[in-house]
Amino acid sequence: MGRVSSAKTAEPVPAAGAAGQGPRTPHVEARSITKRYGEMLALDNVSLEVWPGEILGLMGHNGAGKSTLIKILTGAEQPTSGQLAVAGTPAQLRSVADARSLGVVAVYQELRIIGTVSIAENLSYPVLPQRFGFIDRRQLKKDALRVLSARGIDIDPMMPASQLSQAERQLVEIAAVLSSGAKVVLLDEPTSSLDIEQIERVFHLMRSATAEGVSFVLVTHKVHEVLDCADRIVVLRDGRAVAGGARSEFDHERLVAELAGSTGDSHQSGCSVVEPAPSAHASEIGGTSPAPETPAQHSSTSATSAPALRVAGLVAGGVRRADLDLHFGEVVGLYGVLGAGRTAFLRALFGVNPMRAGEVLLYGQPYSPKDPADSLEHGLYLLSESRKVDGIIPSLSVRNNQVVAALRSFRRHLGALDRGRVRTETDREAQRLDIRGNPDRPVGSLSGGNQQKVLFSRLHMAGARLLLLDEPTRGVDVGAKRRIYQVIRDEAREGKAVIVSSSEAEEICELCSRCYVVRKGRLGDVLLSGDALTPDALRLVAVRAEEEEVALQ
Amino acid sequence: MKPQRSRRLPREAGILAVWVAIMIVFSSLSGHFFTESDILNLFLNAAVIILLSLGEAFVLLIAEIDLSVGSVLALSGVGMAEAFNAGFSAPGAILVAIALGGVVGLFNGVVVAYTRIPSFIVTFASLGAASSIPLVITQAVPIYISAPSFSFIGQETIGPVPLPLVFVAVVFVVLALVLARTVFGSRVYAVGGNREAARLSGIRIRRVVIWCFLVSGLVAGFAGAIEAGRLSSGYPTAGSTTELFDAIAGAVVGGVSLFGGIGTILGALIGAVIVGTLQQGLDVLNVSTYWQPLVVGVVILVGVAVDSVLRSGGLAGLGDLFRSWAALGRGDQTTTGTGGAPVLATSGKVLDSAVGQPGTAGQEPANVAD
Repeated sequence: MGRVSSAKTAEPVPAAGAAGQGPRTPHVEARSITKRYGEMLALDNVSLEVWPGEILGLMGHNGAGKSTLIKILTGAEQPTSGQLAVAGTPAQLRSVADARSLGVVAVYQELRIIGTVSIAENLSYPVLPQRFGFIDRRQLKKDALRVLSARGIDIDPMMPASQLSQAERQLVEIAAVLSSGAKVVLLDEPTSSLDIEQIERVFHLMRSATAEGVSFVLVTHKVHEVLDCADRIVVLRDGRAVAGGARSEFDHERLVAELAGSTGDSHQSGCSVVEPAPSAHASEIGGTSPAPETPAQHSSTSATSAPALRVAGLVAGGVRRADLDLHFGEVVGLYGVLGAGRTAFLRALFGVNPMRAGEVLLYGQPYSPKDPADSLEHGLYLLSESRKVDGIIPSLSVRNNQVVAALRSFRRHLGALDRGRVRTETDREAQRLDIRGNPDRPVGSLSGGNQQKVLFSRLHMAGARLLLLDEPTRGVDVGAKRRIYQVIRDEAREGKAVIVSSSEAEEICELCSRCYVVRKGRLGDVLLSGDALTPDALRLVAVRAEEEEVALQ
Repeated sequence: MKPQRSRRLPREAGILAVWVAIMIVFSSLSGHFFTESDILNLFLNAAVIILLSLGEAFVLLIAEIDLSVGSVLALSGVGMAEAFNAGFSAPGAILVAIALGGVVGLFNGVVVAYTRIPSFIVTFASLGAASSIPLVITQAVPIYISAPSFSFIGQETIGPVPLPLVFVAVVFVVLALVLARTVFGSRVYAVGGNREAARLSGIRIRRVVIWCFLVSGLVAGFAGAIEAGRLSSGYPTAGSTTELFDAIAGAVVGGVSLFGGIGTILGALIGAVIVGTLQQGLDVLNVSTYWQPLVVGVVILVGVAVDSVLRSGGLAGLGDLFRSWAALGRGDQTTTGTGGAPVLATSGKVLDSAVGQPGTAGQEPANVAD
């Protein structure tokens, strides 16, 4: 512990430093870590060690608990129960600064590099070298060159950081962390926006640093990266560490199975290919045992009627190709990891972002929305994924938030608003959805779940027939979630056509009769329905699809 | 539940109380405040500022700003005089004045709506144009018009009530009804409260933006006509001193939020009256005109400070503020806002939603960073 250098002095990591601590003491040890957020159990009795000089691959799906675990290991959050030890000494990490002073540092996806100042200054923050009260630019440059060259990074440190590529930023960030004396560097999805060559550079840097005894925790959901790079692997699922061991104990099959939570490999009949897409390898995907519980079926009438919406070959920002059919009275799912293109697809469909190519048939008629107002007039409605950003209007009352998408229908002569009818109809809606709170107070005073119900009331009052619901239950409590599921089913029963986009496989299976798996901007290659539509199957397909994508490159 | 008490009373009541307090202070300090400038006279002198404030309120409510209203006084006043000299009847000349204001407002609205240029810049440009054109036309010489029909609009009275005040009352009632009771008014509040949410709710943002700037321009043009009538001339330098400043100050002091979405026409009216009262009170007390902008400036500052406290949940918001400071001190990074000062009070709810889903909590390190 005494050997950990302070964050301020930018001395290079001592090459033999780790060896001196003995090979049998892990850099970081977490024992029986449990973390609760209210009712949610984010981490359930997770233990793990990070040994000197190793790369530990930490894997798991969205919501498996990876991020929470990183936050706890780096002091950003405190565990509900369990112990941490750093370099063999029990440690309480009350803050990020605590963890940093012990040499445990996280590098996040959103890098903390300030684009408008030089790389050297970024490296030097928070303390710049000074001479006579002015910044000593020569010293600044010298320090920066030392940090960068120690890691084999050949970049002019005096150029603005904004000129760095994404990969170079990543490299610079890691170099900076290493130069500050970090022993354990946690990388949260470091490769999410890099191409293969750039990823190799990052991995190379990591490997060279492990020779000095530095350890890395590589957090990712990409199977092949972990297999390429890690010395040991830990898999998280639903907040538990479900598998762990040396790299040699894992092969691709096992890792995918552990991630998805099923080890069976029997053939799947309900998994189908909707349309022979150019990359028809999707037809191979499938192969999980039928789950014991069958998904709820809500739409018996839909199969025969003409589609409410047919999308063929849609291309837009973030959407490479989308094909989809949707009937009145059914709830269709879109499942995929974050950033897979679900939101981009829905926003293009609703006219928020422009479509670049492709054909959309709405009620059998060609359709290309000019703007959201146009879409709304055609009976579409988009419930956006981020309630606070573009959902609620916090300064308006609950009532006005409910009615805002339907103002037109409350117009009387001279453009006057029929306030009596607004009152009665919003009251009725509040009762239907069990919205709790004073309807004349700003909507910001309501709980997250009630705010979400207000948004569902808004979409109902707008009279839409085709509902695009993006993460409809994000950030709501369990009670409100159940209520919202009920409301979505009611909408479908009334004959509305509903798309539910979610990163929660359970949610999809609870609500939908069919589900498209979306990945890397492509939608329509894989469709699960009937008995094949299970949470495990969805996760498995999402992982497999991504792996095959990589294999093709 | 906690801020409920502070919201029960309409905010306008508090602003009104401030005005009453200012009146009391001035009359006790001068002794002849009520005699020298009785209430009607006070309102008459504030009429132009009130009108500008009412129009400006529409623009502020959608979180934009209109800097051109002061210079529109000159443009429309000179335009009215020129039109009258060119043979227009007095009502025709007044319509010309209003139309000129409308043109400026329409220009502002269209440019702001269809480009990404901030309204501060766009209306700063039109401020320049609207103040230059009358100077160029008149070579800075006021156009004096002795015809009583010209000055009718500014100098006539109905009983004891000066005609300009009747017009102020009419404009006030119309604008207040538009904002509070029409579909358009609801859209204005929605756009100001959360533009993206309003857009996704099918509101055509550009139309609302253009209309709000148009209202501001038309009202400013009308104010210019009244000013010209009161002065019996088209003044090329009208509105070039503190009028713009006073108009914005009036609306803001009256509770119209510079962040958009909050405020009423009644509030803007009272706020403008407060600004007018301050100026005249300072005159009566023989406070140098050099000092007066300073006093008005302080009033704006206080008004905005009070506004941001109220916006973050009233005095209960202060509690939240302290709590989030305390949380920051502990290094508790989960209390985060979503982008600006006004959300401080809702930080508790941000926390709720982040906690609801641990899987997604990790995807927002950008928020954590601020």
